[in-house]
Amino acid sequence: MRREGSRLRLHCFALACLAGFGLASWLSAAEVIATIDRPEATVEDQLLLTVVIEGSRGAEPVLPEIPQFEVYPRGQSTQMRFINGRMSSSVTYNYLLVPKATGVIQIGPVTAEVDGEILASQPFQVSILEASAQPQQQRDLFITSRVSTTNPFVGQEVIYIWRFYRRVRIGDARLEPQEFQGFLVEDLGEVREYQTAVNGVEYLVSEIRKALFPQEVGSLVIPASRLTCEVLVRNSRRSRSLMDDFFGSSSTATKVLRSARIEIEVRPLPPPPDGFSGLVGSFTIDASMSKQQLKVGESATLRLTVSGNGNVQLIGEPELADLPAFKVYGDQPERSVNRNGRSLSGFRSFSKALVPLEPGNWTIPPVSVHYFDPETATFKAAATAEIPLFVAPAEGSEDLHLTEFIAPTTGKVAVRILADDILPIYGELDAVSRRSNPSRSTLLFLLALVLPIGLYLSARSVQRHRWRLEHDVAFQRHRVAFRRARKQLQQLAGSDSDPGQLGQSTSLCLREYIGDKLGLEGAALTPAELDDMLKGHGVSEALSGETLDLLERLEAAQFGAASLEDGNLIQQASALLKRLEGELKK
Amino acid sequence: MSRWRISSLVGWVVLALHSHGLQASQVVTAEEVHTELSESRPPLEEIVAELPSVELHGELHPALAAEIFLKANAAYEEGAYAKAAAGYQRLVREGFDDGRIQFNLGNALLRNGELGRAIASYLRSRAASPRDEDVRANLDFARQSTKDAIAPPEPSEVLSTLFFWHFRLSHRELAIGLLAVNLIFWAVLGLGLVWPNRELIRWTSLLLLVLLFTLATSLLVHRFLDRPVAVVVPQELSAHTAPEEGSVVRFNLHAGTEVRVQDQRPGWMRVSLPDGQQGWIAEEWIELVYR
Repeated sequence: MRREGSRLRLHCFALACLAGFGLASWLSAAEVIATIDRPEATVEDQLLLTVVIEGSRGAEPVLPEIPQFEVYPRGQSTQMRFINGRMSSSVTYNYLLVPKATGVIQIGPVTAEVDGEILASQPFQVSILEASAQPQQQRDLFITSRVSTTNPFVGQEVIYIWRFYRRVRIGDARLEPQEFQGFLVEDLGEVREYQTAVNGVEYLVSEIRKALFPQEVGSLVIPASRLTCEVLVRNSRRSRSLMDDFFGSSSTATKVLRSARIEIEVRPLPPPPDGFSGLVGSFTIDASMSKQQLKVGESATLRLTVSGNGNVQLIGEPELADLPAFKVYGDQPERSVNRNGRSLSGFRSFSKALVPLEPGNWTIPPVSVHYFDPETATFKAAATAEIPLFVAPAEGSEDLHLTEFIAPTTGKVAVRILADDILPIYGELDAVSRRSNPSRSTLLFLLALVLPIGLYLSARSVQRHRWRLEHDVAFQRHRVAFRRARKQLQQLAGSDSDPGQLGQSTSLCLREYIGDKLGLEGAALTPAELDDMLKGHGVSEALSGETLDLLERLEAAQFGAASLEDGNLIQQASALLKRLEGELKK
Repeated sequence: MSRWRISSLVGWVVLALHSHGLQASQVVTAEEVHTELSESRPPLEEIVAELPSVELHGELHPALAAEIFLKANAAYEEGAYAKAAAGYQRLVREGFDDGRIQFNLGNALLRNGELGRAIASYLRSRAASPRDEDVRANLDFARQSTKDAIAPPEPSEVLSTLFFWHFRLSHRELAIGLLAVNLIFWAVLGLGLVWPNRELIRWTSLLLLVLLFTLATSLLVHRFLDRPVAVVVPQELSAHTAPEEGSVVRFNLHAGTEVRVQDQRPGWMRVSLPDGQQGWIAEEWIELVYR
């Protein structure tokens, strides 16, 4: 037995070698091979077309025309091999084929140009079957679409309901947008999600509702909707490793679901009566007055509300009969469309301010709206009741109430401006005030602007002066020098001291004066030094010379060389002091 | 501290010199009422003849001005709007151009069918009383009757909020505010002489200086930078490519339309529309309004 087993292994090895050599010789030739992953599929499945171009790395395949499929490229890969010392290469292109129709479909040769030679693959056939032969209820996921009627009148509301049933986990669902050619489309709310049981099987359902209003007579088609999603598929093969068991061995498959196309035959409306509003459905009209007893000049609001189910977007303003006894002011209509119900409903409200011009008993005549009822296939009219109004004569001279509350009994509502007019004139006499003279105003303005600046500068100057008086000794000496010297000279003139003493005091007085004025210690300076100082401070030559002369004569008198009476030196000193003060002030 | 005090002083002297004529008339008023717009109205001479005309030293006595005002008000109440407008215009011409008289004049002109002049009067009234809601309401009402779909040259909401003092205070209020702040500023500086080196005084004076600068800038902008607004008076007015009667007509404006004046030549004004289009219009057919 052992010998037979080893012989079998030897044969297998030999066969594998032969197969390998054969494959190698096959691969080495330039060739285009097109394969499909399965020969049979349904319209809900996707097929993988693989094109291998042997013997070239740069060649690109040219796919045949296959209108029965949508083709999506899914990448490429390149392989290189060394066989018997020869290198060969191939490139593989993958395509996803999404069936669009059923039947046996011939997929023609795939061609590619390799080294100037056009190569072609073998054609093959694929059978595309109807969506799963299983009844819908037994399938994991399916979509349905239906309409409320397939034979509506033009303008009649057709409810389109699209449902997606599923009982497996899906991901990346994409619903292709549908085109409703020939319809006016209104979405009825958001996508609804709910659970339901179909023949005992529980499904999660996503539902989309739309209200379609056919705009053309004749055959219209709602095309099939297409939904693509990824479905989790658990692999049926046995797990081969612990890792597979742990992470699970599942993959996703792309599913394309289609709903059936729906054909609709739209009927025309019968010949409409006069005043037909274009509304198709079921409508009512309601009228209300904010008050039924008013005075001339007052305003009341007439509110006309047309509501119903159907093509509510087309609700127009109902015609109000002429009211010669009233002034009528229109207002912006209010509109509301309810898209959350099973069908489209809504209302449009028209408000009018009526201002009576004459007193009396008046009536607002019925206001009607004509519409087509598709249930009975007849034209119908909805009308309001007559509204009596009692108008009393106006009181006083008031002409018009500008505002009033609309429907005050229904709670707080916005105050609506019904009419407008300019506000009245001013009557007070204080408006009669003359404009002031422009030039005088300008002058006053400038004065008022500059005055605080002047006051501030003055205060600042006074403060500075005071500070110098208190803190600046030189300034203080300079300031009081003249007064002090003059006072001293007057005292010396009245004194009976000896001439020497008088001469010394007068000289000292003059020198101290000059010292105070020049910020020096005058008593310590000689007449010659003082002369130089005076000249240095701008005192004239003549006055400086006279000062020097007088000081020398006073010194002479001090030592008895001259008498004070000679030329009255003290008086000369007083005169000189005045002249010095005059010049030093400059 | 002392350095900026001195520089601010110099600044105020310069400002004072530049503000010459600050209180000068801000309003260019119509010299006479154009009655050609309404054939059915009585001639202007007849209307004016009925009004008091006694003058004192060349100026209308305030008592007589009050009488004219009351008569014009009575004429307005009776529906004699042309007569009322003539009375208010006389008061304005005599220097009694309070914002309220301009408001009454606007009402009378509007009732009399003179939309352009009415809007001009409301604009003048608003310049004198920028926060008066009645003026704003009537101006808005009058603007609804204009034919041209052109937005009036008004500042944006953001601008008027950011620089509220500039747009919400009249020229007169700004001037009075400037004087008051100026007085307080120098008074605070004076206190600084008495109590030197006080932080409170230093910061207060700095704050006041900023306020002064702000108000002064507003006044100077009012005076020198604000361009006047031209209000179209006739039912239709052609804007030309050049300031000549025979030049090409670029566009037509209609009664009550407000446009910004960009340039002035003798007898002509270059105006611009909000989209930048410009044209020359004859001065005699517009009412010029300064803010």
